[in-house]
Amino acid sequence: MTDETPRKLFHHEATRRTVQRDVDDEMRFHLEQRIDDLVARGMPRAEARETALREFGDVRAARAELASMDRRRVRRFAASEWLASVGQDVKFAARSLRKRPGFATTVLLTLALGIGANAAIFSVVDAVLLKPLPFAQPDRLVHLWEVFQSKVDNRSEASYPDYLDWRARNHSFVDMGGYHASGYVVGTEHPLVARAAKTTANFFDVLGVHAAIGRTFVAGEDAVGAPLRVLLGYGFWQRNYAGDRSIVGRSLVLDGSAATVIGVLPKEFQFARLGDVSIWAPIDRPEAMRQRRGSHWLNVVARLKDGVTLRGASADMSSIMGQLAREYPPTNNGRDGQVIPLREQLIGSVRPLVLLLYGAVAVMLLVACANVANLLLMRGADRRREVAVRIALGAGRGRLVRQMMTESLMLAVVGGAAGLVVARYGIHALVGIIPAGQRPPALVSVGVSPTVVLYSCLVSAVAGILFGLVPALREARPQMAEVLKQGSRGSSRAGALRDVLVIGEVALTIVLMSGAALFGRSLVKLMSIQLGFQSEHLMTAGVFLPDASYKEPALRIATFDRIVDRIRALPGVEAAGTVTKLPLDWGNSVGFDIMGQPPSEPGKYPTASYRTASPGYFSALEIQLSRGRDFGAGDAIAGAPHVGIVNRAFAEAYFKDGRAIGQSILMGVHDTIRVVGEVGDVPIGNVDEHIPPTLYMPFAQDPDTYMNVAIRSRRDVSGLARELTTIVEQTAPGAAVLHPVAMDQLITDSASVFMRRFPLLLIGAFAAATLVLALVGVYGVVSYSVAQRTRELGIRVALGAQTRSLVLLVVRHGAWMATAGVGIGVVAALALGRFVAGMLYGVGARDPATLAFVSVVLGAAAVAATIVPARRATKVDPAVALQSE
Amino acid sequence: MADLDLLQGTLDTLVLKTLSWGPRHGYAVAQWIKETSDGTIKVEDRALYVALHRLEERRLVESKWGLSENNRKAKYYQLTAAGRGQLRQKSADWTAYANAVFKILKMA
Repeated sequence: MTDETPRKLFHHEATRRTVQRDVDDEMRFHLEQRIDDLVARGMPRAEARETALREFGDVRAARAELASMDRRRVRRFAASEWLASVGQDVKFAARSLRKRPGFATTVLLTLALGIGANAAIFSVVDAVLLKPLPFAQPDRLVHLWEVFQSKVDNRSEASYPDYLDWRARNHSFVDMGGYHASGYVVGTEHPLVARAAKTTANFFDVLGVHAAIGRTFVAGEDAVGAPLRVLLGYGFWQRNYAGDRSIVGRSLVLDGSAATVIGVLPKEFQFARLGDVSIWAPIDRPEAMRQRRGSHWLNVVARLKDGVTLRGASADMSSIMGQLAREYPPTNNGRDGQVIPLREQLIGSVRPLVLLLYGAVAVMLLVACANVANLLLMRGADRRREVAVRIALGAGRGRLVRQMMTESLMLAVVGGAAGLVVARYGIHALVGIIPAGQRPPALVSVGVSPTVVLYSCLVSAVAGILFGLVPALREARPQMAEVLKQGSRGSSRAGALRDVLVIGEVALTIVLMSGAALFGRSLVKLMSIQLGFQSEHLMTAGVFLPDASYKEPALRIATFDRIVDRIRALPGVEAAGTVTKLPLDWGNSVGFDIMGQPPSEPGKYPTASYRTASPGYFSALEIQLSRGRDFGAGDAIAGAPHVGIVNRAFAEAYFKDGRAIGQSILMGVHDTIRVVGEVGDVPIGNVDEHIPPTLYMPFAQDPDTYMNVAIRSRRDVSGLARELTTIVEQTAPGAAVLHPVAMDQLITDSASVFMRRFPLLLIGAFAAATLVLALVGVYGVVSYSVAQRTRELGIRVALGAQTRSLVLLVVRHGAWMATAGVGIGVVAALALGRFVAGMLYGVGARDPATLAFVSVVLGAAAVAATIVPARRATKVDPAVALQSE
Repeated sequence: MADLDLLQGTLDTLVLKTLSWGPRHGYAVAQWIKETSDGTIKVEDRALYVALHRLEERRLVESKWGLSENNRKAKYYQLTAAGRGQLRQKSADWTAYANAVFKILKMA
C-alpha cells in the first residue's frame, strides 16, 4: 500500500452551492497529483499537463456529470447527511474533551455547581410561588379582613356577627367561609399535640376542595353543640395511621372528648398561613362568643362571582361595613373591609425572599458561565491550527461555529445532568435549615420534579449558548487561514475580551458579597437588641390541659401550681414560672379604660397585650421589676382583689409621669384591676418590632388551660424536657407537653431573625462560591497573559528590567481588572439595593461602610491572585523565551 | 486489454475492494488499480470518478475531506457498513462465476 491513513478527515455535508466547487477541487487534486508524478519521472511540465488531461477523459463533461450526480444525492439525502455531520461533531467534541480531562472536569464541576444551585432554588420557586394553589379556580378566591381606621396595621379578623352579615348582604361573592388556627391534644395515653384549624362547615366548598377519602363537612356540623367531626391532613394520616383507609368513621380522642373522623384531605392540599395542619374541625366557639360583635377571631375567604372584579368586591365590602358602622357604633365605628386576592395573602410574604435568592443564584451562574467562556477562549487559541485546516478544507464559518457549539452544549448538558444531583442534595440541605415553624407547607412536596428537570435542561442550553457562542464566533473566522502561516500569537482583541469577562465577574461578585454583608450586619444588629430578659440558659415548653377534663378553674390553678412547684424542686433548676404567652409570641390583647381618665368612645378603647403569669415568672426570665411587687400567694386566694403588673411602655403611655402603681384599670363591665408593679419592656412580636403596652395578671385570677413553662437552668434541654414530661404525666393526666426548646433557639427561629439568617446563609454561600470563581478567573487570565507574553518578558529581562517592574507589570493587569470590576459592581449594588431594602435591619441598602469593606476585601484578594503569575513572570529565562518563536 | 463493458459492473466492486484497507482519495484508488493489475486494467479516470460518486450516492461509500501527504485538499472515500456487505456479496458472486466459467473452459 502506498498511501498511509491521512491525518484528519472532516465530513462537510455538501449543499447545492458547494457541489460544483467540491467537484472542481477533487478533480484539480487528481490532475495536480498526476502532473507532479509525471514531472517527477522527468516529463516536462507542459507535456505532463497534456498527458494528464488526456488520461482523465472529457474534463468538462466530467465536471458537469459529477456535479449533477452530487446535486441529486444532496437532494435525496439532505437530512441524513446533516445528521451524519452532527454525529461527527459530537464524536469530535467528545474526543477533544477526553484529550483534556483537566479542562473538562473543571468546566463540568463549575457547571454542575452553578446549574445545580439554580435548579435547587428554582424548585423552591416552583413549589412556593409558581404552583397553582390546590383549590378550584384559585384566582377567583379572595381573603377578607376588617380594617380599623384605614390603617393596614390595624387589620384584624372578622367577628362572627359581622361575618354572618357579610354573607347575607353581599352581591359579589358566590359564598364565603371562615377559619382560624387552633390545636388539639390527641389521644389519652400518650397524648400528642397536633396543629389544628377550625373552619365553618362550608369552608372546603368555598375553596372547591374535595376529600381524598370520605367527605368534607356538611351544613350544620359547625353548629353549637354539634357532635365533633374532623378531617385529617394527609401527612398526619400517613404519619400516625400509616395511611389506613379504614380511618374514616373511626373515633379519636381530642382534648379529652370523642371525635369522629369523616375523611382525609388530599395530599396536595395545603393552606400556607396555617402551616402543616393535622386536624381540621368545625368552629366550636360557644354561642355567647358567636354573638359578640366586638370579638374578632374569624379569618374569612370568599369566592368571587363571575364577572365581579376585585374593586367591585372592595366597594361592596366597604358599603356593608359602612352600614354595620351605622347600625352598631360601639363595635363597628370606624371599621372598614379589605379584599385581598387569596394567592397574594398566602404567598405574598415569602415572595420577595424567594425571588431574592433566585436572583443571587442566577448571578452565581452568570459568573460560572463567564469563567467557562474564558476557559474556552484560552483553549481556543490552542486549536487555531486545527481550525485553519478545516477552513482550508472548505468548512464554512457556520459549520465551524456549529462544531464548537456542539462541544459547549455537550459540556452544558453533562454539567446540567450532574447539576441535578447537586440540586437534589441542595434542596434537602436548604429545607433542613428552615425551622419547622417558618417552613411554608408547600415545601413538603419540593424536590427534583419534572418541571425542575425541564428547567434544568433549559438553563443548561442557555448556559451552553452563553458561554459557548462568543468563543465559537471568535475562533471560526475565515481569516484564520492566514494564521497557519504565521506564528500563533494571541491577538490583543482576544485579550481584551477575556479581561472584560473577568471584570464582569468581579462586578457581579461585589453585588453578591455586598448583599450577604448587608444581611450579616442586619443579623448582628438584630441580635444585639436588648431583649429586656435573659434568654440564655432558659428552657421553655407548653403545657396543654385538655378542656374537657379541666373545666374547673380551681383545678387548673392547682394543677399548674403543682407542676411549677415540682419543677422548682428539680436539681439544677434555678427558677421557674409560667405565662400564657412567652416573649416573641404575639396575640391576646384586651381593651380597657383607665380609672380617673375620661372614658373612651365605644369602639375606640385603647388596647394592650395581655398575659397571665405565675409568681416568680419575671424573676425566672430575669425581667427587671422596676417598681412595686411581683404576684404572690395573696393574689391567689379566692375573692382577692384583681391586680395587675404593667410594663414600662404601658406606664408611660397611660399614666402621668409614668406613675402606674396604685392606679386602676377598668376591663369589661365589672373588672377593676389595681396596678401593683411595673416591669421592663419585653418584645411581644418580633425582636425588632415596637413593644406595645403590656398588662400582666396573676394566672390564679384568670386561669387558662394552656400555659408556657419557663425554666432557668444550666442543664441541657432534652434532659429537662424528659423530667418535665414525667412531672406533667404524673400531675396532670391527659395533659401534653409541647415543643420543649431553649429560648435562644426560639429567638433564632423567630421570623425576624430567620428572615435575616436564612438569606445570610444562602447568599453568603453563593457569594463565597462566586468569589472563588472570580478569583480563579483573575488568576487564569493573568497567568495566560503571562504565558502569551513570554517573548516580550524575555526581551525586557534581556534589556535589564528589574524584578520589581516585571511584577508590577503583571500585578497592574490584575489590579486594573479588579478596580474596574469593583467600580462597576459598586454601582450595580447601589442600583439593585432597593430590592433588599425592605428586608434589612439597622443598615441601609446603600450603606457605604459595607460596600467599602466588600470592595477592599475583593480588591485585595484579586491582587493576591496575581502574585503567583507575577512571580512566574520574573523567572522567565530570556534565552529560552527569545528562542521559542 | 480488458473489455470496457465488462468493467462497468465490476469497476464498482474493484473500487470497493480498494477501499477495504482504509480511506483513500480518488487518485490513490486509480494508481492502486493500475499498479496491482500490472497495467492490465486501464480505467479512464473520468469513469473511475463517476463510479466513486455513484457508489457514494448508493451509500456504499462515504466521503470526507482531508489533507493529503503533501498538504493538499483532497476528497477521501471510505466504505460504509453497507459497502462492506456489498463487497462481500459481489466477491462471492464473482468467484462463483469465475469458477464456473473456468470449470467449463478447462474441460478438454
